[in-house]
Amino acid sequence: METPPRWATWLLTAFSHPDTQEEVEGDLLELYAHWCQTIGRRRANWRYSLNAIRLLRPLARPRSQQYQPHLLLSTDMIRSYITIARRQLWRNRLFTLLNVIGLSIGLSACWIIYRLVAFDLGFDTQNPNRDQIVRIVSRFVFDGKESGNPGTPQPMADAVRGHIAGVDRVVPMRGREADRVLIPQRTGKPLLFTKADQDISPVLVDTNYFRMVPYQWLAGQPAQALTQPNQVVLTQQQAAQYFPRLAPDQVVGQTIIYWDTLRMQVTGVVANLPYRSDFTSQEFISLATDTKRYDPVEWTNTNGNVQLYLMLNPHANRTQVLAQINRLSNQRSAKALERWGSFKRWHLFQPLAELHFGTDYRDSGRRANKKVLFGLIGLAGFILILAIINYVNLSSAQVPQRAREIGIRKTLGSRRRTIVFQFLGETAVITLLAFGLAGGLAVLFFGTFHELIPVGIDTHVNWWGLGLFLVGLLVGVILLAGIYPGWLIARFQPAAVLRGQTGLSLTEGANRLTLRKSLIVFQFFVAQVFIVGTLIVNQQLRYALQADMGFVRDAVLTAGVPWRSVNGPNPTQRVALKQELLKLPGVAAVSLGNQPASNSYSSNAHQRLGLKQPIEINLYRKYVDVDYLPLYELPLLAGRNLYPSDTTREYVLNETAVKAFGFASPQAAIGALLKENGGEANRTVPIVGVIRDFHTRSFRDAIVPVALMTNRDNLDGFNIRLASGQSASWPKVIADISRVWAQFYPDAPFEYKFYDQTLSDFYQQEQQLAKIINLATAIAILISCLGLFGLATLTAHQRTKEIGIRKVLGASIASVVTLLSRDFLVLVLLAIVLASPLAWWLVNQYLAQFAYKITLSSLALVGAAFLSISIALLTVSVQSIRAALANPVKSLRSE
Amino acid sequence: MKRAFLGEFEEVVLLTVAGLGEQAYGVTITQTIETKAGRAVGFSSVHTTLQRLAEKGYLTSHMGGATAERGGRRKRFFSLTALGQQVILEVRRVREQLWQAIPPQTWQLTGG
Repeated sequence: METPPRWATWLLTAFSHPDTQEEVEGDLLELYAHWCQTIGRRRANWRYSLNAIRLLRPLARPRSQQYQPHLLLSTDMIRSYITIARRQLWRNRLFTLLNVIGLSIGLSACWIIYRLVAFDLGFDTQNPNRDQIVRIVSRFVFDGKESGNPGTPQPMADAVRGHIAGVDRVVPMRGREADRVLIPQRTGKPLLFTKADQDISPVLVDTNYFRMVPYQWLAGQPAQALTQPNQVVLTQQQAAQYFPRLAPDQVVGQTIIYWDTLRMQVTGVVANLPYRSDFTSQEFISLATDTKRYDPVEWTNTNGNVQLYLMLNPHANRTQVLAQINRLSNQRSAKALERWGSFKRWHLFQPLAELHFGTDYRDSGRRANKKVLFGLIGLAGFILILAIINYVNLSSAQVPQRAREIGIRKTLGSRRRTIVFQFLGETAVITLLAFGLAGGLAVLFFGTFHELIPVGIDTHVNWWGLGLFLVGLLVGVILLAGIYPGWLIARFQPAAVLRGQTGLSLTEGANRLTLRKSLIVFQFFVAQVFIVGTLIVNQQLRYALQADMGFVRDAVLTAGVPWRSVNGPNPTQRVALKQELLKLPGVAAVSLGNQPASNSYSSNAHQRLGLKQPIEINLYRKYVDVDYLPLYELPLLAGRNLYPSDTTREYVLNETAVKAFGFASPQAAIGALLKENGGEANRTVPIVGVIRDFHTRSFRDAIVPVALMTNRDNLDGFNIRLASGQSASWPKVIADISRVWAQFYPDAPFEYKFYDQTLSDFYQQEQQLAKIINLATAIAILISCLGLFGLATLTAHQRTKEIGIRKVLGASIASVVTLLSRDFLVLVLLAIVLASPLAWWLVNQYLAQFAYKITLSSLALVGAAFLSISIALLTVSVQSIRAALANPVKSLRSE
Repeated sequence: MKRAFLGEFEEVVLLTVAGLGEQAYGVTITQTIETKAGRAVGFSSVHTTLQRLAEKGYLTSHMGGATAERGGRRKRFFSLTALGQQVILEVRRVREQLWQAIPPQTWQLTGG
C-alpha cells in the first residue's frame, strides 16, 4: 500500500481544522489510494499535497471543548461535597453534636487563655527604648530568707549619674501617696478631688523620664517642663478630670495643690500612652520639688516607692556596669551598715521586658507570674488536644459506614488527595460550627468569671495578632483533626469495599483499636489528675479559711487611723475616740494596734542580752495597747499583759520568739532583757509576758517570732469587736460608730473592713486557683465523657447483631450491660492507676508551699478514683442499657 | 418563502448528497460529482462546501464507518435536513418556472 508524502501528511495533522481533522485525513487517504490506481503515483502525490495545503486552517480553534481535568475544586464538585457533607452530618446528628461541643470547648479555652496571656505579655512592648531600659532592684538576705524590693536607696541616682560608664541616662522615679488634690478656682472654694473618686498617683520624675518613655506632647515644652521645683505635667486623661472644660493649652499654667500645702504649676499636658504599659502614673511632679537633702544613712534604706531606672548604652557590658553599681552601693552604705550587723544587700538589673513578671518585687501595679501563664497555656493545649482526640476517635470509628460511598468514588476515578480534601472539608464545617459556639462560650465566660479577668483586658487590643491567631488556630485544628480519619479513608481498597467487606478491619484491626484505647486512657488520665487536684486544692482552701488562727476573728472590724493623724499633731485623738466607742452599746471591745495577721509587717533584729554568746534574731513587731490581748483572747502562758505606756517599755513575746531566743520555757523568759539593733542605742527592754502562738500571716508562712509592745505614736489601726450573737443589729452599731468617728475625724470617712474578709483576702490567689482548677476539671471530665459516650454508642451500634444473638440464647440484661461496659471500665481503671502517682506527687508539691496544711491521705485518691469510675459507668451505661433492652427480633432481622 | 441563497456548486453538492442517501461522505460525493457532473472538482472544495452547507443548516452529519484503509479514521456521513430539502425543492421550482416561461421558438434556432 502506497503511502502519501509524509510532509503533506504532517502538515495535515498539524494544521488542519481540529473539528474535521479525522474525516479529512481519512478521506484523503482513501482518495489517494484511488488516485494511485487511476492516475498514477506521481500525480496522486501531487493531488494529495495540493489538497492538503488547501485544507490547512492554521488559525482554527476547536469549537467543542474536550473534557479537561478540573482543578482541585470545580463548582460542581464543591456542590457535591457540600450536599454529601450536609447529609452526612445531619444523619449522624448525635456525633456531630458531640464533636461540635467538644471542639467548641477546646477552642474557647484556647481563645480565652490567648486573651489572658497576650494581655500580660503585651506590656510596654511598643516602647522604642525597650531594650535599653533596666530598673535597679535590691535583694536582701534577712534571717536566712531572701527577698526582693523594687526600690533602691534614694542617693543612688546622683551617685550613678556621671560616674558609671555605660549608663546613658539615669531616671529616678519616686512615687508618693496623695489622697486628695485641690484645684483653686477663679471664684469660690477650691475644687476637691479625693482618692475615693479619682485615681491620684503622682510620681516625682525629671525630664529624663520623658526621654525614657516617649509621650506625645499636647501642650508645654518637653525640655523645660520639669526642670524647676513645683512643676507638674498631667496626662490628658487627668487634665480632663481636673480641668473639665479646658483645652490642653489652657491647662498649662493652672495651679494644683498637693498635700494641702504645695502649689504646683502645670507645665505640660501629654497624651496617654497608646499602648499597655506598667508606667501607669497620670501626673508627673518635678523631682526638684523634693529639696530635702539626705544624709548618708539613707543608703541603708530601701523603700519600694523610690525606684531607679537606667537607660543603658547598647554597647555597654551589663555585668560590668552592674558590678560597678554594687560596689558603689556597698561602699557608700558600709559606714551606716556597721551598726546593723547581719545585713546583706545587693542589686540586680531588671530589664523592662521582665518588669511585668517580677512577682518577687512588690509593686503597685499588676504583676503576672510567668509560671502561671505557661501553666495556662499548657492547660489550653491540653483541653484542645483532648477535644481533638475525641474528634479523631469518633470520626475514625464512623468510617466503616462510609465505606461504600468511598468505594464508588474511587471507582469513578477520584484521586486520593481529593478524597482527603473532601473529609477535611467536612472537618472544616464541624470546626466552623464549633468556632461559632466557642465564641458564645467565651462571651459567657468573660461575663461570669470577671474576677479572673484582669482589668483593662479590652484596651489596646492587637486586632491583627488576634485575627492571625484565630485563623492559625482554625487551620491547625482542621488539619490535626481531619488528617488521620481522612488518611484512613483514603486507604480503602474499592474492590474489597464494594464486594461487601465493610472495611472494619481497617478501623478495628489490632493497631487501630489500640490507638483508640490508648487515647481514652490518656483522656481519663488527665481527668483523674485534675479531679485529685481539685479535691486537694479545695480542701486546703477550706482548711485555710476556717481553721483557727489563734485569735478571735468573728465580729471583729478593723479600720485604719487616718494617715494624716498618724504623724499629725494630735495622737491622743484616737485614744479619745476609742473611749467614746467603748460607750456605744453593741461594741464589746476596742483596741488600738496592728492587726494580728496582716500582709504588712515591721521587723528588726534584736539581741538577747546576758548570755556569753548573745543570740540575735529578727523579731517582728506589733504595736498594741493593753486591751489588745483581751479583745483577741490571746492566752498568756506566762507573765502578764503590758502596762499602759506611751513608749516602748516592755515586750510580750510569743512562743516561737521564746524558743528562738533559747529560753528553756516561757516562764524562764520573764524578766530577760532584749536590745534592739540600731534602734535608740542602749535601750534594753524586759520581757514581761509570753502568749501562745498565733498566725501572723497566711498559712503559707510559718509563725514567726513576734513581740507586742506599746508605742502611742505607732498605733495606726482600730480593732473593734462587736457584741457577738446579735449580728442583726450590727448595721446599726456600725452606723453609730460611723457617727462617733465623724465627730473626731470629720474629714476622713470611716472605712472599715470585717477582719474575716481581710483574712480571706490572704488567699485570693488560692481562691482564684481553686476556681480555675474546678473549671478545668469540669471541662476535662466533660470532654472525656463526651468521647466515651460517643464510643460507647458506636460500639453498641456495631455489636447490635451480637447482642441480639446473645439475648436470643438467653443472656440476661445485666450480663449484656456488663459485657459492653467491661471494656471501657478496664481502660478507666488503667488510667486511674497510671494517674494516681503523678497526682500524688503534684498535690504534694502544691501543698509544700503551705507551712500549715491538711494531711494528705490516700483516702483522697480512693475517693477520686471512685468518682471517676462512677462518672464513666454512668456515661457508658446509658448506651449499654439501651442496647441491652433492644428487641433482638429487630436487630437480627435481615433486610 | 424566503430567498434561497444557494450557490451553483452548493446546489450540485446538495443534489449529490440527496442522491447518495446513506453513503454520502467526502470521497463518494467527490467521485460522484466527478463522474456525474463531469467536472474536475477538488476534494478540498467539496469539503469546504459541505462544511458551509452544514453551518447553514441544510446538512447534518454523523461519524462512523472506520476502516483500516483509512488508518482507522471514521467517515463523516452527511444527510439532508428538512430545511435542506425545502431549499433544494424551492430552487427546482424556481428553475422550472423560468423554463416554463421560455417560448418554444427559442430552441429551433439551436436545433432544440
